[in-house]
Amino acid sequence: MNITQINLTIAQMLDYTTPILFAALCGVLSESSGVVNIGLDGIMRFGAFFGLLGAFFSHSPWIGLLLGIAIGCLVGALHAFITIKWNGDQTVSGTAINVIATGLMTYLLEYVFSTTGYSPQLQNYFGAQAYRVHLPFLVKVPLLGAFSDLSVMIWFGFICTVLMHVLLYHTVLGLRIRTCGENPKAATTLGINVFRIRWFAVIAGAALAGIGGAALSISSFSGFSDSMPNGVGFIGLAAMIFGKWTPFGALGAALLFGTGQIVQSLIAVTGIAPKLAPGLTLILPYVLTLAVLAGFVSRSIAPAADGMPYYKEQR
Amino acid sequence: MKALEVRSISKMFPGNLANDNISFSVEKGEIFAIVGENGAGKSTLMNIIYGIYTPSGGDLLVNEKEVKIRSVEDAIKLRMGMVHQEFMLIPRFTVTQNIVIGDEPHKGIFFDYGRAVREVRELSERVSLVVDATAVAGDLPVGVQQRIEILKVLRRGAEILIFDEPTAVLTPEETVDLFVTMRKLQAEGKTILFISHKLKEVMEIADRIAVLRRGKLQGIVNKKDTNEEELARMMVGRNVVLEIPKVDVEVGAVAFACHDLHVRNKRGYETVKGMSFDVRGGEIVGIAGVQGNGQDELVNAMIGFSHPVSGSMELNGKNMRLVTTAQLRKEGMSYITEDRARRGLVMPYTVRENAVMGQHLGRPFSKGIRMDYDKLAEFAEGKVREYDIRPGDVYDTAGSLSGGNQQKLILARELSLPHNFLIASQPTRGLDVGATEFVYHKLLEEKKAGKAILLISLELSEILGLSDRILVMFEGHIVGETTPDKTTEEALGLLMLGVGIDKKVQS
Amino acid sequence: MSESNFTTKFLKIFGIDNRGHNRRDPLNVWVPLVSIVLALIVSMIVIAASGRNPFRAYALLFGDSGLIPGGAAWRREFAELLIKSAMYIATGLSVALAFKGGLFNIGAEGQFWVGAIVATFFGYWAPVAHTFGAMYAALGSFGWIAQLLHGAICIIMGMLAGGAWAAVAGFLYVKRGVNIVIGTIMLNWIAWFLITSWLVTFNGPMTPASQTFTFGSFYVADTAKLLRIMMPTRLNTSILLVLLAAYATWFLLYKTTIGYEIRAIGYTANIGMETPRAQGINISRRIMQLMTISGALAGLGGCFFILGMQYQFPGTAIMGYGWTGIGVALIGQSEPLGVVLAGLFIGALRTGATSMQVANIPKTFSNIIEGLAVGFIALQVAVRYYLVKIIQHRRARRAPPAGQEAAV
Repeated sequence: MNITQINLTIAQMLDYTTPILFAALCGVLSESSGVVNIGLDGIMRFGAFFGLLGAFFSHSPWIGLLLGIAIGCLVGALHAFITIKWNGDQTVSGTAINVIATGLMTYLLEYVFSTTGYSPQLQNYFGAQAYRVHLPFLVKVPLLGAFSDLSVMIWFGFICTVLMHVLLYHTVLGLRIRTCGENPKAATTLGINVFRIRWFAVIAGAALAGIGGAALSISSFSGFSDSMPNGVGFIGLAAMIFGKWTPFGALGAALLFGTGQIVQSLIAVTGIAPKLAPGLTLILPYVLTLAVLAGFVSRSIAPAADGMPYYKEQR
Repeated sequence: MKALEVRSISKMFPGNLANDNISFSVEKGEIFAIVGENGAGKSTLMNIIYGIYTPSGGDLLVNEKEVKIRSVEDAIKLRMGMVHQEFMLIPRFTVTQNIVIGDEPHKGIFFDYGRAVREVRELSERVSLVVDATAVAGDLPVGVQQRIEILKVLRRGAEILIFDEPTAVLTPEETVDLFVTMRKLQAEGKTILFISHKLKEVMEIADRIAVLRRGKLQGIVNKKDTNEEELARMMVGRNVVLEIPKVDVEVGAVAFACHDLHVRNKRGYETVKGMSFDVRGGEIVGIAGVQGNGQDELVNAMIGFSHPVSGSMELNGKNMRLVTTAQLRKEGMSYITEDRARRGLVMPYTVRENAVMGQHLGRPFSKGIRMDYDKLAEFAEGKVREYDIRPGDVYDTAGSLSGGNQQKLILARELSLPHNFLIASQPTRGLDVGATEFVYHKLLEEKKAGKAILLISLELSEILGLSDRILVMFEGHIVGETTPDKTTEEALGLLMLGVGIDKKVQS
Repeated sequence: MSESNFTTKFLKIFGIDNRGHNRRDPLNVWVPLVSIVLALIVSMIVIAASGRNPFRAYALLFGDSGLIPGGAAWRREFAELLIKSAMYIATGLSVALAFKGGLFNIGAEGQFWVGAIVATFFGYWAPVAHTFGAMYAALGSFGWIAQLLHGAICIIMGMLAGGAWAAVAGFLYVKRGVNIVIGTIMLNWIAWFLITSWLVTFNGPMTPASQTFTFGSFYVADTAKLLRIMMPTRLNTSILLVLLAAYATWFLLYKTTIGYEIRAIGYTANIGMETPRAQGINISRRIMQLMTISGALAGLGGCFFILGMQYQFPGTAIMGYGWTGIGVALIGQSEPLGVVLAGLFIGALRTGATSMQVANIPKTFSNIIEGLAVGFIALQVAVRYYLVKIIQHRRARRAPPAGQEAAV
């Protein structure tokens, strides 16, 4: 296996990682404020389709990205409305989003493009050479050579990770978000508006999930496939947990899980033990997550008030 | 100048007048204590002053100007700060983070942690409250955590500080430190409101003391004009004494015994610190004490919800320290709880379904796994008649019954289970006179039937009227043992409030 | 009076008496109905917004759903309706039962597939298949007995497998505190990938060695297939079995000690389960039992999928039965009867949706209606709030104002 192949493989791995990362970051932000969002798989699906929609009709992937963000915000607002305003069950709301996403995107695919299964191909997408981030000086560097020619979405993912880390751990807003997730009652006594902060975290997180979905259709692939996001959202959920609800942890987990996704091709390229059940690498994210959750005696790695609805004038 | 004035404040909750026309004023620079038993309305009053509740009637004046305090932000703006009984800390965050959240020093959108640490250190030095600014809050001892809470309110410029039962979780040494701090704050011109039911401490630190009882203000006294006994009398007062007939029964074998029992509460602190007592068949042993002195944890250990840290516990002579609730019940333990919603009944279940819980496995209510709901109904109907539970429809949900009828249902259930040791924890809480009489009647019947009964109550008249022997519980110890004919309500009240522990009231 | 005597006695054998368990809150029926109606309305708006005729669409949807008799193809549609509904009811019961115990078993999907794959295995596994094949030949015209037995074995094993899969999640929850929602979601995907990427892939252990285009696992033996009823349609015994399961679930919940304790746990799940604990109920044991039975029900659905429809584990399987089950349980308010009705409703939607393609609406449109219904149920606090307001408003209008009464 030569350098070019290794670089290609790493690049492919990063490609798989990106949507997982965005999904995981969505989860991190939302749950840091105390709201569980298992609908992020559905939001990714929304983002994937609408991202494609925007890119297709405007011939610019940037518009597609913008549309993906917008639809993410919209669906996120719905989740926030149900869970924050009306204290609806967070899991049920997320499930509703997932189910609606499944049906609605298929419907829209047929309605807009008169096809089923796959949307028409995009000529202009972030995966195309014109949009890639070229860093020719890295080509000769071992290992880093893979980074010399990547889709802009991958870099965007890294940047978002760093930004979220800075947000949560170095800004005033981030501190307040985390307070809401740890002890909303205490936050209220400190004069923090828990509801407003949660609205923000949920919508912003959903925007990220929307980006993640868009990354699938206008970066990793050049179109929308009716099976998107293929459960990537749930891998992202696993990555969030495995990464202990922190942005860099999510990045590490996403990289790990992204690697698992392409192990098949690795096996094919290197010819190692094709008898090794391919399914095993695919289930790795979930098994690891369970192991992490089961192995920790003190379950205190999640934000303390995660998933619990907050009522005003609680005695 | 009057820093704070409360004028005719009332607060009505469904079914409960928590504050009834309370008026008083607090001078600037005073340490003003508010004392009263549980349920007297102290916390409610404080929550009103701090904007967590809105009053049903009355006004508040701060610095002699009328104000409307509708939220915590309003209260903070008026320079009030509250140190809650239950700390509002984020265990995962550092001391500094906990103190500055909501008022963070910042450079633009960025949290200036360095400056925050400096500010916290400065504040800490200025008021001589030593804290390690970068320590993780959850790792610190309770006394230090409280200092964090105090620093929190001071940082926001609080001039009026409200302390809600601050010494409840402190050791004696930490309490001393706290009082030193309070004196320092007072010297700086701050006004302090201090809620407590620990009279000794109140007498030590307060300038003036207001006594609340059942939502009403009993009176305000100057510290130098009063003493613990008088305060206790004002707090406890005379209740309507029900005529409880004296029943003499020959005392039988020991049903329950514990020796040097130590139990921890949920936070990990020991709140039962070496109790030893026994209860025999045919007697009612009453444990008197103010809530929060370890009774809850004692009960939890006795019903198998938690295991004692050390010491022994025996039911009918058998070691019961590490057993499950089911095993305890099989051995003959029955339990009447005051927490009807959480521990007593399944509220959405009907009367029919609640009545048999605990004996639903096995005949006659079930054969194998099949449950005979008709038998359940029969049984429940019988109990409804026997205990006069209203309304009399066994298909009503438990949640639709009034408190008194719910308690009767609990009684019906517990007393019909085969048992010889009955734990009655505040069995008449929230009940009217009629229901209370009924409960007393039933308890005496139990006694006549030779059951061993442990009565835990906050109502002294109840303890005095029913018990054959009385144990007073204070801070996890038994501080007094006596019989009803050898003591009075006031004497018990003093013991319960920790007054004169050195002189035990001997039987 | 006398004519009700026989019926009453007959029903009592099955434990059905007219003594309700609770004072039924009529809102419990209104909330799902209103949610469905709202979902249908919103969906109509979606259709109209995309330029199609919502009325024509709905006419096709409901007309061809099998719910409305008449028309040439009704028998076939009705059969399709029942075949689909059987699976949705199965997973719906699974989720509903778990809900009753206070647990959110999202793992119905994984448990469904685990049941399916195990049923497949026992359907084609040589020792079993040959035995029953021989029995079938030997029994001649009583050969259907062999079919019943083989099918029964596959179903039992499938249910056990589904139950075991759920029990894993239950164990992780009870012993290690792993959140049930997360645990079951993870196990869903583990099951899915193990099956679709290993067991049933090209050259996987459960696929025949030589396959060209259509692929999937080995086919189950003829004796394993569920019996057909109502020829010449595809209808099989699954609907009967699932109705039996629904009855059994109802019986479990409302006539047994297990159900009594489970419901007590479920009602107090949000406040710490102290009351059942104080009465000596063994919560851990009941939760494990609950998850196992719940998983078995979902696994039953998987058995239907294989033994009643596909006769093999298809390579083209897609997820969805478990997720639908969640919707069915929510719409059915976790009551066995409600679940049956909701399952039939969703089955009808899915059956009729195929016909909606004539009106240019893709057949997955039923997902939208479903998702919206679930969404409105998530909002049930809001729905209840407004329903109560409406009821109060109407009461106020009907009753004379209090002042007038006093004046008289």
